[in-house]
Amino acid sequence: MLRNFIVSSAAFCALTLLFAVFALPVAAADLLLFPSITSTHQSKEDAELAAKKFLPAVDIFYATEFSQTRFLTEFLKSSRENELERFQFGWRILPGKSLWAGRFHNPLSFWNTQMHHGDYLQTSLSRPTVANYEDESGPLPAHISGFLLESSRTAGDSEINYMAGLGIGPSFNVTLQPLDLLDPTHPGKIAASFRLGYHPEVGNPNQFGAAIGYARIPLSNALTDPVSNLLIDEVRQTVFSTFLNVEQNKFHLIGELFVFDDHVSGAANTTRYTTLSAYLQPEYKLGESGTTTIYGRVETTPRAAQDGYLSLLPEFSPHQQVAGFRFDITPKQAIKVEAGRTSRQDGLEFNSISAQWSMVLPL
Amino acid sequence: MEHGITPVKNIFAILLAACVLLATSMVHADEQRIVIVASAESGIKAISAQEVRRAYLGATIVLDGVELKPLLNQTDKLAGEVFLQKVLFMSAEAYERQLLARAFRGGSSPKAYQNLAALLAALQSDNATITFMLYGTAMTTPGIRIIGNL
Repeated sequence: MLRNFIVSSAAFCALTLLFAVFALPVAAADLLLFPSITSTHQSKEDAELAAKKFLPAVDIFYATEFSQTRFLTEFLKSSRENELERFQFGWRILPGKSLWAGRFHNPLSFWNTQMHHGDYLQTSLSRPTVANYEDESGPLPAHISGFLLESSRTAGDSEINYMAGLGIGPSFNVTLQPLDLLDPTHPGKIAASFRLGYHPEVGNPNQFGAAIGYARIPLSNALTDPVSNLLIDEVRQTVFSTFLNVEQNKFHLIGELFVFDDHVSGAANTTRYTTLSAYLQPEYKLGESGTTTIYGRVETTPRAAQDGYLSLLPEFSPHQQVAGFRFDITPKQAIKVEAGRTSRQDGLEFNSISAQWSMVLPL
Repeated sequence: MEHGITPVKNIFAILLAACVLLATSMVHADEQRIVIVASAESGIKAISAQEVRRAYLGATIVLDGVELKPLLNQTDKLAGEVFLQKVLFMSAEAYERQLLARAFRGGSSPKAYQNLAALLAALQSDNATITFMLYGTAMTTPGIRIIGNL
Protein backbone atom coordinates (compact mmCIF):
# COMPACT_ATOMS: atom_id res chain seq x y z
CA MET A 1 0.00 0.00 0.00
CA LEU A 2 2.72 2.44 1.12
CA ARG A 3 4.93 1.24 -1.72
CA ASN A 4 2.25 1.96 -4.31
CA PHE A 5 1.59 5.36 -2.78
CA ILE A 6 5.28 6.36 -2.89
CA VAL A 7 5.78 5.11 -6.45
CA SER A 8 2.64 6.78 -7.81
CA SER A 9 3.33 10.05 -5.95
CA ALA A 10 6.95 10.17 -7.14
CA ALA A 11 5.87 9.39 -10.71
CA PHE A 12 3.22 12.10 -10.61
CA CYS A 13 5.66 14.71 -9.25
CA ALA A 14 8.33 13.68 -11.74
CA LEU A 15 5.98 13.94 -14.71
CA THR A 16 4.61 17.29 -13.54
CA LEU A 17 8.10 18.71 -13.09
CA LEU A 18 9.30 17.18 -16.37
CA PHE A 19 6.51 18.99 -18.13
CA ALA A 20 7.34 22.20 -16.28
CA VAL A 21 11.07 22.05 -17.08
CA PHE A 22 10.67 21.35 -20.77
CA ALA A 23 7.73 23.71 -21.22
CA LEU A 24 9.93 26.61 -20.17
CA PRO A 25 11.75 28.51 -22.87
CA VAL A 26 15.37 28.68 -21.74
CA ALA A 27 17.17 26.54 -19.21
CA ALA A 28 20.72 26.61 -17.86
CA ALA A 29 22.25 23.20 -18.52
CA ASP A 30 25.32 21.11 -17.66
CA LEU A 31 26.33 18.16 -19.81
CA LEU A 32 29.35 16.32 -18.44
CA LEU A 33 31.02 13.14 -19.68
CA PHE A 34 33.30 11.13 -17.41
CA PRO A 35 35.14 8.59 -19.60
CA SER A 36 37.56 6.18 -17.94
CA ILE A 37 39.60 3.10 -18.79
CA THR A 38 40.65 0.79 -15.96
CA SER A 39 43.00 -2.15 -16.18
CA THR A 40 43.47 -4.52 -13.24
CA HIS A 41 45.70 -7.50 -12.55
CA GLN A 42 44.98 -9.82 -9.59
CA SER A 43 47.10 -12.56 -8.08
CA LYS A 44 43.95 -14.77 -7.96
CA GLU A 45 40.68 -14.25 -9.74
CA ASP A 46 37.24 -15.66 -10.41
CA ALA A 47 34.91 -15.05 -13.35
CA GLU A 48 33.63 -11.75 -11.91
CA LEU A 49 37.13 -10.36 -11.38
CA ALA A 50 38.24 -11.61 -14.80
CA ALA A 51 35.39 -9.62 -16.39
CA LYS A 52 36.75 -6.45 -14.79
CA LYS A 53 40.36 -6.85 -16.01
CA PHE A 54 39.89 -4.24 -18.70
CA LEU A 55 36.97 -1.91 -18.12
CA PRO A 56 36.24 1.06 -20.39
CA ALA A 57 33.31 3.15 -19.14
CA VAL A 58 31.63 6.49 -19.64
CA ASP A 59 29.36 8.19 -17.15
CA ILE A 60 27.03 10.72 -18.78
CA PHE A 61 25.65 13.43 -16.54
CA TYR A 62 23.07 16.03 -17.52
CA ALA A 63 21.45 18.68 -15.34
CA THR A 64 19.26 21.60 -16.20
CA GLU A 65 17.30 24.14 -14.26
CA PHE A 66 14.92 26.96 -14.86
CA SER A 67 13.56 29.19 -12.19
CA GLN A 68 12.57 26.90 -9.30
CA THR A 69 12.59 23.60 -11.20
CA ARG A 70 15.50 21.27 -11.88
CA PHE A 71 16.16 18.04 -13.72
CA LEU A 72 19.17 15.77 -13.32
CA THR A 73 20.08 12.45 -14.88
CA GLU A 74 23.12 10.20 -14.96
CA PHE A 75 23.65 7.18 -17.18
CA LEU A 76 26.55 4.74 -16.94
CA LYS A 77 27.72 2.76 -19.95
CA SER A 78 30.55 0.32 -19.55
CA SER A 79 31.66 -2.97 -21.04
CA ARG A 80 29.84 -4.69 -18.12
CA GLU A 81 26.60 -2.74 -17.77
CA ASN A 82 24.25 -0.01 -18.93
CA GLU A 83 22.42 1.61 -16.06
CA LEU A 84 20.30 4.67 -15.49
CA GLU A 85 21.95 5.74 -12.24
CA ARG A 86 19.95 8.85 -11.42
CA PHE A 87 16.81 10.36 -12.84
CA GLN A 88 15.37 13.06 -10.66
CA PHE A 89 13.27 16.18 -10.83
CA GLY A 90 13.60 18.89 -8.26
CA TRP A 91 11.73 21.85 -7.00
CA ARG A 92 13.45 24.60 -4.99
CA ILE A 93 10.76 25.11 -2.38
CA LEU A 94 12.64 27.73 -0.36
CA PRO A 95 16.14 29.27 -0.52
CA GLY A 96 18.54 26.43 0.32
CA LYS A 97 15.79 23.81 0.35
CA SER A 98 14.97 21.45 -2.54
CA LEU A 99 12.59 18.54 -2.94
CA TRP A 100 13.52 15.90 -5.51
CA ALA A 101 11.43 13.08 -6.93
CA GLY A 102 12.87 10.14 -8.86
CA ARG A 103 15.84 7.83 -8.45
CA PHE A 104 18.69 9.33 -6.43
CA HIS A 105 21.84 8.44 -4.51
CA ASN A 106 21.18 7.19 -1.00
CA PRO A 107 22.54 9.87 1.37
CA LEU A 108 23.36 7.22 3.97
CA SER A 109 26.97 6.97 2.76
CA PHE A 110 28.99 10.18 2.42
CA TRP A 111 31.24 8.62 -0.25
CA ASN A 112 28.20 7.50 -2.23
CA THR A 113 26.84 11.01 -2.66
CA GLN A 114 30.18 12.78 -3.13
CA MET A 115 31.79 10.68 -5.86
CA HIS A 116 29.60 7.88 -7.17
CA HIS A 117 30.40 7.04 -10.82
CA GLY A 118 32.45 10.14 -11.55
CA ASP A 119 35.79 8.29 -11.37
CA TYR A 120 37.67 11.47 -12.17
CA LEU A 121 36.20 13.21 -9.11
CA GLN A 122 37.60 10.78 -6.54
CA THR A 123 41.30 10.73 -5.72
CA SER A 124 41.54 6.96 -5.36
CA LEU A 125 41.00 4.50 -8.15
CA SER A 126 38.71 2.21 -6.14
CA ARG A 127 35.84 2.82 -3.73
CA PRO A 128 35.67 1.54 -0.17
CA THR A 129 33.97 -1.87 -0.19
CA VAL A 130 31.25 -0.73 2.19
CA ALA A 131 30.34 2.07 -0.24
CA ASN A 132 30.41 -0.21 -3.29
CA TYR A 133 27.58 -0.30 -5.82
CA GLU A 134 24.80 -2.82 -5.34
CA ASP A 135 25.94 -5.03 -8.23
CA GLU A 136 29.48 -5.19 -6.82
CA SER A 137 28.36 -6.74 -3.53
CA GLY A 138 27.92 -3.40 -1.81
CA PRO A 139 26.00 -4.04 1.42
CA LEU A 140 24.12 -0.71 1.47
CA PRO A 141 21.35 0.45 -0.85
CA ALA A 142 23.24 2.93 -3.08
CA HIS A 143 20.04 4.13 -4.79
CA ILE A 144 16.54 4.89 -3.60
CA SER A 145 13.57 5.77 -5.81
CA GLY A 146 11.10 8.16 -4.24
CA PHE A 147 11.57 11.55 -2.60
CA LEU A 148 14.65 13.39 -1.39
CA LEU A 149 14.57 16.57 0.65
CA GLU A 150 17.82 18.60 0.76
CA SER A 151 18.34 21.59 2.97
CA SER A 152 21.22 23.78 4.09
CA ARG A 153 21.24 26.62 6.55
CA THR A 154 24.06 28.97 7.53
CA ALA A 155 24.56 29.92 11.15
CA GLY A 156 27.31 32.50 11.56
CA ASP A 157 30.42 31.10 9.88
CA SER A 158 29.13 27.55 9.82
CA GLU A 159 26.59 25.64 7.76
CA ILE A 160 24.30 22.79 8.68
CA ASN A 161 22.83 20.66 5.95
CA TYR A 162 20.60 17.64 5.85
CA MET A 163 19.29 15.17 3.31
CA ALA A 164 16.24 13.02 3.94
CA GLY A 165 15.27 10.28 1.49
CA LEU A 166 12.18 8.09 1.43
CA GLY A 167 11.27 5.61 -1.25
CA ILE A 168 11.68 2.14 -2.65
CA GLY A 169 14.95 0.38 -1.91
CA PRO A 170 16.58 -2.71 -3.37
CA SER A 171 15.56 -6.34 -3.35
CA PHE A 172 18.13 -9.12 -3.06
CA ASN A 173 19.08 -11.64 -5.70
CA VAL A 174 22.76 -12.69 -5.37
CA THR A 175 23.47 -8.97 -4.84
CA LEU A 176 21.24 -6.03 -3.98
CA GLN A 177 19.03 -5.07 -6.94
CA PRO A 178 17.98 -1.41 -6.93
CA LEU A 179 14.67 -0.37 -8.47
CA ASP A 180 14.84 -0.11 -12.22
CA LEU A 181 12.53 2.78 -13.14
CA LEU A 182 11.47 0.91 -16.26
CA ASP A 183 10.54 -2.23 -14.33
CA PRO A 184 7.38 -1.71 -12.24
CA THR A 185 7.40 -5.36 -11.11
CA HIS A 186 10.47 -4.82 -8.95
CA PRO A 187 9.73 -6.29 -5.50
CA GLY A 188 11.62 -3.60 -3.52
CA LYS A 189 10.13 -2.31 -0.29
CA ILE A 190 10.52 0.83 1.75
CA ALA A 191 13.92 2.47 2.31
CA ALA A 192 14.57 5.69 4.22
CA SER A 193 17.65 7.59 5.26
CA PHE A 194 18.58 10.85 6.92
CA ARG A 195 21.99 12.55 6.98
CA LEU A 196 23.02 15.57 8.97
CA GLY A 197 26.25 17.37 8.03
CA TYR A 198 28.13 20.25 9.62
CA HIS A 199 30.57 22.57 7.85
CA PRO A 200 32.54 24.59 10.45
CA GLU A 201 33.11 27.20 7.72
CA VAL A 202 30.70 27.89 4.87
CA GLY A 203 32.21 27.12 1.48
CA ASN A 204 35.02 25.10 3.03
CA PRO A 205 35.02 21.36 2.17
CA ASN A 206 35.70 20.38 5.80
CA GLN A 207 32.65 18.55 7.03
CA PHE A 208 31.54 15.96 9.54
CA GLY A 209 28.22 14.43 10.39
CA ALA A 210 26.07 11.39 10.98
CA ALA A 211 23.38 9.42 9.20
CA ILE A 212 20.77 6.78 9.84
CA GLY A 213 19.12 4.52 7.31
CA TYR A 214 16.49 1.82 7.24
CA ALA A 215 15.60 -0.61 4.48
CA ARG A 216 13.36 -3.62 4.13
CA ILE A 217 15.13 -5.88 1.66
CA PRO A 218 13.05 -8.79 0.34
CA LEU A 219 14.93 -11.80 -1.01
CA SER A 220 13.79 -12.89 -4.46
CA ASN A 221 14.11 -16.52 -3.39
CA ALA A 222 14.14 -17.93 0.13
CA LEU A 223 17.72 -18.61 1.19
CA THR A 224 19.46 -20.26 4.10
CA ASP A 225 21.14 -17.83 6.48
CA PRO A 226 24.76 -19.05 6.31
CA VAL A 227 25.27 -18.23 10.01
CA SER A 228 22.06 -19.47 11.69
CA ASN A 229 21.20 -22.06 9.00
CA LEU A 230 17.56 -20.92 9.16
CA LEU A 231 15.44 -20.31 6.07
CA ILE A 232 15.06 -16.55 5.43
CA ASP A 233 13.15 -14.32 3.02
CA GLU A 234 13.76 -10.75 4.21
CA VAL A 235 16.43 -8.53 5.73
CA ARG A 236 15.45 -5.47 7.76
CA GLN A 237 18.53 -3.32 7.82
CA THR A 238 19.13 -0.35 10.10
CA VAL A 239 22.45 1.45 9.66
CA PHE A 240 23.99 4.24 11.72
CA SER A 241 26.99 6.04 10.29
CA THR A 242 29.32 8.92 11.02
CA PHE A 243 31.68 10.56 8.56
CA LEU A 244 34.43 13.16 8.38
CA ASN A 245 36.06 14.99 5.51
CA VAL A 246 39.05 17.16 6.43
CA GLU A 247 41.09 19.21 3.96
CA GLN A 248 44.02 21.20 5.27
CA ASN A 249 46.46 22.59 2.70
CA LYS A 250 47.90 19.52 0.98
CA PHE A 251 46.37 17.01 3.36
CA HIS A 252 42.96 15.38 2.92
CA LEU A 253 41.35 12.79 5.17
CA ILE A 254 38.06 11.05 4.51
CA GLY A 255 36.56 8.37 6.72
CA GLU A 256 33.28 6.70 7.66
CA LEU A 257 32.13 4.37 10.41
CA PHE A 258 29.00 2.23 9.96
CA VAL A 259 27.04 0.17 12.48
CA PHE A 260 24.88 -2.45 10.77
CA ASP A 261 21.88 -3.73 12.69
CA ASP A 262 20.52 -6.48 10.45
CA HIS A 263 17.34 -8.39 11.26
CA VAL A 264 17.38 -11.43 9.03
CA SER A 265 14.01 -13.16 9.08
CA GLY A 266 12.02 -16.07 7.71
CA ALA A 267 8.43 -17.19 8.25
CA ALA A 268 8.95 -18.14 11.89
CA ASN A 269 12.30 -16.77 12.91
CA THR A 270 14.33 -13.58 13.13
CA THR A 271 18.03 -13.38 13.86
CA ARG A 272 19.67 -10.10 14.74
CA TYR A 273 23.25 -9.26 13.77
CA THR A 274 25.18 -6.15 14.76
CA THR A 275 28.37 -5.44 12.85
CA LEU A 276 30.82 -2.54 12.61
CA SER A 277 32.48 -1.44 9.38
CA ALA A 278 34.91 1.45 8.83
CA TYR A 279 37.38 2.92 6.38
CA LEU A 280 39.89 5.75 6.54
CA GLN A 281 41.61 7.30 3.53
CA PRO A 282 44.41 9.85 4.01
CA GLU A 283 45.70 11.72 0.96
CA TYR A 284 48.65 14.08 0.48
CA LYS A 285 49.47 16.35 -2.48
CA LEU A 286 53.17 16.37 -3.40
CA GLY A 287 55.17 19.39 -4.54
CA GLU A 288 54.15 22.97 -5.19
CA SER A 289 51.94 22.23 -8.19
CA GLY A 290 49.91 19.62 -6.29
CA THR A 291 49.39 17.58 -9.46
CA THR A 292 50.52 14.36 -7.79
CA THR A 293 48.59 12.96 -4.84
CA ILE A 294 49.56 9.90 -2.83
CA TYR A 295 46.92 8.08 -0.82
CA GLY A 296 46.17 4.97 1.16
CA ARG A 297 43.01 3.40 2.54
CA VAL A 298 42.36 0.89 5.29
CA GLU A 299 38.98 -0.84 5.47
CA THR A 300 37.71 -3.31 7.99
CA THR A 301 34.49 -5.13 8.86
CA PRO A 302 35.79 -7.36 11.65
CA ARG A 303 32.74 -9.56 12.30
CA ALA A 304 31.44 -9.84 8.73
CA ALA A 305 31.66 -13.64 8.78
CA GLN A 306 29.31 -13.73 11.81
CA ASP A 307 26.71 -11.49 10.12
CA GLY A 308 24.02 -13.51 8.35
CA TYR A 309 23.23 -10.67 5.91
CA LEU A 310 26.84 -9.83 4.98
CA SER A 311 27.48 -13.57 4.58
CA LEU A 312 24.96 -13.54 1.73
CA LEU A 313 27.40 -11.33 -0.20
CA PRO A 314 30.32 -13.64 -1.10
CA GLU A 315 32.22 -10.89 -2.94
CA PHE A 316 31.98 -8.43 -0.07
CA SER A 317 35.50 -7.69 1.23
CA PRO A 318 35.66 -7.42 5.04
CA HIS A 319 39.33 -6.45 4.88
CA GLN A 320 41.05 -4.36 2.25
CA GLN A 321 44.11 -2.13 2.17
CA VAL A 322 45.06 -0.02 -0.83
CA ALA A 323 47.81 2.48 -1.60
CA GLY A 324 48.33 4.48 -4.73
CA PHE A 325 48.91 7.74 -6.45
CA ARG A 326 47.00 10.07 -8.73
CA PHE A 327 48.71 12.25 -11.31
CA ASP A 328 46.72 15.06 -12.89
CA ILE A 329 48.11 15.19 -16.42
CA THR A 330 45.99 18.23 -17.26
CA PRO A 331 43.45 20.13 -15.14
CA LYS A 332 40.71 17.70 -16.33
CA GLN A 333 42.56 14.46 -16.92
CA ALA A 334 44.16 12.06 -14.45
CA ILE A 335 46.12 8.84 -14.29
CA LYS A 336 45.84 6.67 -11.16
CA VAL A 337 47.82 3.63 -10.10
CA GLU A 338 46.72 1.58 -7.09
CA ALA A 339 47.98 -1.55 -5.35
CA GLY A 340 45.75 -3.45 -2.96
CA ARG A 341 45.34 -6.45 -0.71
CA THR A 342 41.80 -7.85 -0.47
CA SER A 343 40.22 -10.57 1.70
CA ARG A 344 36.74 -11.49 0.52
CA GLN A 345 33.82 -12.97 2.39
CA ASP A 346 34.02 -16.17 0.31
CA GLY A 347 37.62 -16.73 1.47
CA LEU A 348 39.32 -15.50 -1.70
CA GLU A 349 42.39 -13.44 -0.83
CA PHE A 350 44.41 -11.68 -3.48
CA ASN A 351 46.80 -8.85 -4.26
CA SER A 352 45.98 -6.51 -7.08
CA ILE A 353 47.46 -3.70 -9.10
CA SER A 354 45.30 -1.38 -11.17
CA ALA A 355 45.81 1.58 -13.46
CA GLN A 356 43.15 4.00 -14.62
CA TRP A 357 42.90 6.93 -16.98
CA SER A 358 39.96 9.23 -16.36
CA MET A 359 38.85 12.65 -17.45
CA VAL A 360 35.89 15.00 -17.61
CA LEU A 361 34.50 16.61 -20.75
CA PRO A 362 34.04 19.32 -21.90
CA LEU A 363 37.63 20.43 -21.40
CA MET B 1 74.03 79.69 -0.19
CA GLU B 2 74.21 77.06 -2.88
CA HIS B 3 75.17 74.55 -0.21
CA GLY B 4 71.81 75.30 1.49
CA ILE B 5 69.71 75.05 -1.68
CA THR B 6 70.95 71.59 -2.77
CA PRO B 7 69.50 69.69 0.23
CA VAL B 8 66.14 71.46 -0.23
CA LYS B 9 66.17 70.54 -3.92
CA ASN B 10 66.91 66.93 -3.00
CA ILE B 11 64.06 66.85 -0.50
CA PHE B 12 61.65 68.25 -3.14
CA ALA B 13 62.91 65.73 -5.66
CA ILE B 14 62.41 62.85 -3.22
CA LEU B 15 58.93 64.08 -2.25
CA LEU B 16 57.99 64.48 -5.90
CA ALA B 17 59.21 60.97 -6.73
CA ALA B 18 57.29 59.59 -3.72
CA CYS B 19 54.12 61.35 -4.87
CA VAL B 20 54.51 60.00 -8.40
CA LEU B 21 55.10 56.49 -7.04
CA LEU B 22 52.11 56.77 -4.71
CA ALA B 23 49.87 58.05 -7.48
CA THR B 24 51.07 55.29 -9.82
CA SER B 25 50.44 52.60 -7.22
CA MET B 26 47.01 54.07 -6.46
CA VAL B 27 46.13 54.04 -10.15
CA HIS B 28 47.45 50.47 -10.36
CA ALA B 29 45.47 49.46 -7.26
CA ASP B 30 42.33 51.02 -8.72
CA GLU B 31 42.96 49.13 -11.95
CA GLN B 32 43.03 45.86 -10.00
CA ARG B 33 40.18 46.72 -7.65
CA ILE B 34 37.31 44.28 -7.88
CA VAL B 35 33.75 45.35 -7.22
CA ILE B 36 30.49 43.44 -7.05
CA VAL B 37 27.73 44.80 -9.22
CA ALA B 38 24.02 44.18 -9.68
CA SER B 39 21.39 45.70 -11.92
CA ALA B 40 20.67 49.35 -11.15
CA GLU B 41 17.09 48.20 -10.43
CA SER B 42 18.20 45.52 -7.96
CA GLY B 43 16.99 45.75 -4.37
CA ILE B 44 20.30 44.42 -3.01
CA LYS B 45 21.87 47.24 -0.99
CA ALA B 46 25.33 45.97 -0.04
CA ILE B 47 27.32 42.75 0.13
CA SER B 48 30.43 41.81 2.10
CA ALA B 49 33.47 39.95 0.76
CA GLN B 50 32.57 36.97 2.94
CA GLU B 51 29.04 36.79 1.51
CA VAL B 52 30.43 37.02 -2.00
CA ARG B 53 32.87 34.18 -1.31
CA ARG B 54 30.12 32.00 0.12
CA ALA B 55 27.75 32.67 -2.75
CA TYR B 56 30.39 31.76 -5.34
CA LEU B 57 31.25 28.58 -3.42
CA GLY B 58 27.66 27.42 -3.60
CA ALA B 59 26.13 28.49 -0.27
CA THR B 60 22.62 29.92 -0.27
CA ILE B 61 22.84 33.63 0.52
CA VAL B 62 19.71 35.70 1.03
CA LEU B 63 20.22 39.49 1.13
CA ASP B 64 17.46 42.04 1.52
CA GLY B 65 14.92 39.28 0.88
CA VAL B 66 16.61 38.15 -2.35
CA GLU B 67 18.38 34.81 -2.88
CA LEU B 68 21.57 35.71 -4.70
CA LYS B 69 22.39 34.20 -8.09
CA PRO B 70 26.11 34.73 -8.74
CA LEU B 71 27.29 34.95 -12.35
CA LEU B 72 30.85 34.21 -13.45
CA ASN B 73 32.41 37.04 -15.41
CA GLN B 74 34.77 35.41 -17.90
CA THR B 75 34.87 38.45 -20.18
CA ASP B 76 37.90 39.92 -18.44
CA LYS B 77 40.87 37.67 -17.66
CA LEU B 78 42.44 40.10 -15.18
CA ALA B 79 39.18 40.50 -13.25
CA GLY B 80 38.81 36.73 -13.08
CA GLU B 81 42.36 36.20 -11.80
CA VAL B 82 42.10 38.94 -9.16
CA PHE B 83 38.71 37.60 -8.03
CA LEU B 84 40.03 34.06 -7.63
CA GLN B 85 43.14 35.18 -5.75
CA LYS B 86 41.71 37.87 -3.51
CA VAL B 87 38.17 36.68 -2.90
CA LEU B 88 38.01 32.92 -3.34
CA PHE B 89 41.67 32.28 -2.38
CA MET B 90 42.09 29.45 -4.87
CA SER B 91 43.44 28.68 -8.32
CA ALA B 92 41.20 28.55 -11.40
CA GLU B 93 41.69 24.76 -11.58
CA ALA B 94 40.72 24.25 -7.93
CA TYR B 95 37.62 26.41 -8.32
CA GLU B 96 36.57 24.67 -11.51
CA ARG B 97 36.95 21.29 -9.85
CA GLN B 98 34.87 22.45 -6.91
CA LEU B 99 32.11 23.62 -9.25
CA LEU B 100 32.28 20.34 -11.13
CA ALA B 101 31.89 18.29 -7.95
CA ARG B 102 29.05 20.52 -6.83
CA ALA B 103 27.19 20.18 -10.14
CA PHE B 104 27.63 16.40 -10.01
CA ARG B 105 26.03 16.33 -6.57
CA GLY B 106 23.00 18.17 -7.95
CA GLY B 107 23.93 21.64 -6.79
CA SER B 108 23.67 24.82 -8.83
CA SER B 109 26.80 26.43 -10.23
CA PRO B 110 27.26 30.09 -11.18
CA LYS B 111 26.54 30.50 -14.87
CA ALA B 112 29.60 31.66 -16.81
CA TYR B 113 29.59 34.44 -19.42
CA GLN B 114 32.32 35.07 -22.00
CA ASN B 115 30.50 38.00 -23.56
CA LEU B 116 30.04 41.30 -21.68
CA ALA B 117 26.80 42.20 -23.46
CA ALA B 118 25.28 38.84 -22.53
CA LEU B 119 26.49 39.21 -18.93
CA LEU B 120 24.93 42.67 -18.64
CA ALA B 121 21.70 41.43 -20.21
CA ALA B 122 21.57 38.63 -17.61
CA LEU B 123 22.08 41.17 -14.83
CA GLN B 124 19.30 43.36 -16.19
CA SER B 125 16.87 40.48 -16.62
CA ASP B 126 17.08 39.20 -13.04
CA ASN B 127 17.47 41.48 -10.03
CA ALA B 128 18.80 38.59 -7.93
CA THR B 129 21.93 38.20 -10.08
CA ILE B 130 25.30 39.66 -9.17
CA THR B 131 28.72 39.55 -10.75
CA PHE B 132 32.23 40.88 -10.26
CA MET B 133 34.22 43.23 -12.47
CA LEU B 134 37.08 45.70 -12.34
CA TYR B 135 36.22 49.04 -10.76
CA GLY B 136 37.10 50.91 -13.96
CA THR B 137 34.75 48.74 -16.03
CA ALA B 138 31.92 49.14 -13.51
CA MET B 139 32.28 52.94 -13.52
CA THR B 140 31.92 53.13 -17.28
CA THR B 141 29.13 50.58 -17.67
CA PRO B 142 25.58 51.95 -17.64
CA GLY B 143 22.63 50.18 -16.00
CA ILE B 144 24.54 48.60 -13.13
CA ARG B 145 25.25 49.57 -9.54
CA ILE B 146 28.23 48.76 -7.31
CA ILE B 147 27.01 46.87 -4.22
CA GLY B 148 30.34 45.72 -2.84
CA ASN B 149 33.99 46.76 -2.81
CA LEU B 150 36.39 43.86 -2.36
